[in-house]
Amino acid sequence: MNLRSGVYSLHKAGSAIEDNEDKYALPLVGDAGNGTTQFVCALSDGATEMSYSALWAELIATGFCESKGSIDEFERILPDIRKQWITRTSKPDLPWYAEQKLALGAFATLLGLKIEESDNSEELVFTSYAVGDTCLFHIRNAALIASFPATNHHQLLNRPLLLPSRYDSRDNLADMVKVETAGFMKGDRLILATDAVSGWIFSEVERGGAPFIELDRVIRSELEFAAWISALRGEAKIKNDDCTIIWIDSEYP
Amino acid sequence: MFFADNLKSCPKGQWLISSALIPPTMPYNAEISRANPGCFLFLVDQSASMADPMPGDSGGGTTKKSEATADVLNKFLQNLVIKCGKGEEIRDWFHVGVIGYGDSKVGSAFGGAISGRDLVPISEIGKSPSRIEERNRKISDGAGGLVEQRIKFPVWFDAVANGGTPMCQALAKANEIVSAWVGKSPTGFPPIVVNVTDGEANDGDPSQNAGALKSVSTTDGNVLLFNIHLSSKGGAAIDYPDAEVGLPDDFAKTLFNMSSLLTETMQTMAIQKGYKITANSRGFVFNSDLVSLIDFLDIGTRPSNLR
Repeated sequence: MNLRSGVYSLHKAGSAIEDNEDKYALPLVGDAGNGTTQFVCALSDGATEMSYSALWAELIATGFCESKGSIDEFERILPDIRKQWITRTSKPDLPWYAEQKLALGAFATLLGLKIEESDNSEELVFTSYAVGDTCLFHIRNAALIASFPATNHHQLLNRPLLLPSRYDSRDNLADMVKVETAGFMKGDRLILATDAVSGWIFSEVERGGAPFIELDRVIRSELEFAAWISALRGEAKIKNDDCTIIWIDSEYP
Repeated sequence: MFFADNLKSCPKGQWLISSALIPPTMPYNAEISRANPGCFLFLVDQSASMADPMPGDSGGGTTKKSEATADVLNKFLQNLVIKCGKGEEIRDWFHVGVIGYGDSKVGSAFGGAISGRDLVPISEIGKSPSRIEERNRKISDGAGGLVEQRIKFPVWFDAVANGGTPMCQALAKANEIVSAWVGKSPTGFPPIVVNVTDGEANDGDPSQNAGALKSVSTTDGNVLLFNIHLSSKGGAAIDYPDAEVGLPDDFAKTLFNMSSLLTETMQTMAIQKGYKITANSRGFVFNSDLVSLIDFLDIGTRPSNLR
């Protein structure tokens, strides 16, 4: 399939590294089940104020990849993922506040990505599934072709939809998830980013800046990425939140 | 479907996200974190007239204003502790005080292990209720219906209704407390003071003390003073007015004029809750019922940038 990919994540300033609630599953390249290969990854941003959101984010990101990027399969195993979360968080004799907080459940965004071979030998096809404000950016020649599910920074100001760890009949995954499919040509880049980095990208695009040239510079190493985010925080150009990006470059065919 | 703000303690609502793109020089935008916690101070009228029935009481006038106030503030503290809870830990995002005034006394209204203390970190508050009661509440059954559930209801302070209304002294005490706080957190989100009262101060005109209190500031803005007026004279509820026209008496007008404007984040939050808000709306409610009071505390203690 000939892809290159990487991931960098930096916890919010003033917090411990283990407090980072951005979780990802990357990469999973394997048999799509029809003799072709596919690439699957997922990024999830756990809700800060809830308990055990990082665990929930990790479980759903992993679950998406284990579903081989099939949203139907993910929906089928979601009840089991919820049971896992409950099993791993339940404890006897919790203090009153921990017990009541746990009853509220955890929440997280989910951005899943599947890249597959297509009938057209000149390009791959990607399909992305989104719940919430973790965004996908499709880049060609250092310019933005499309973003998903948000298309501008104003949409990041809205209350994001979040996937809950506690089942509620009003919570229908099909109603929550947005889907986007497009061709992925040689030289193209996809970036998955949680809301802080997405907000910075939109701001730069909207002011006529060149965020993808800057990103290209800093995704060469984890240290570069961390230093870059720290500098942006120092200049108040990005909000102080967990910052994670997954990047995938197509070298296909 | 689940939107972040459908749950009061859910984190990724507009008040968090919007701060990403607000220039840091705008007021009321300082980050609230364990390193830079927020400060809430409640002033609670405990005068004899607080034993009168609560406005809009659906229980046939049997709920006293003092009891309703205690319930609402205990519930607020409960929600705030839960909001700051992370697993079995409580993160000290806030320090909170409850000052009672009545019977010629002004001082901490906390009971139990934190009795006598003015501002207490939220982790200590969570671990130190004076008692935990069991109450009933209705919750979603997950299938569109409601079921009744027994729930633990922690109590930090009890209803008191006795003596006069030394509001000027209470505001002066608040000034001492928040000035000391601001001295230690000169760049933090400024303290938010919420005064709950039912009547006219009997130790003078509180306007001057209120003005002095609101003049205390951090680099992020002035202290915010909000007022809840539970009038014994009755009258229709008025929420977040932007002018004193329509307020029924001089004391309501005094409290209105003592009240700070809602911040932009609070305006947005109030609009989302269905209130009519303008740029001049103040943090003042007159004769609101219990539901509106809970909304008021939710809106009035909503900073912009919790981390």
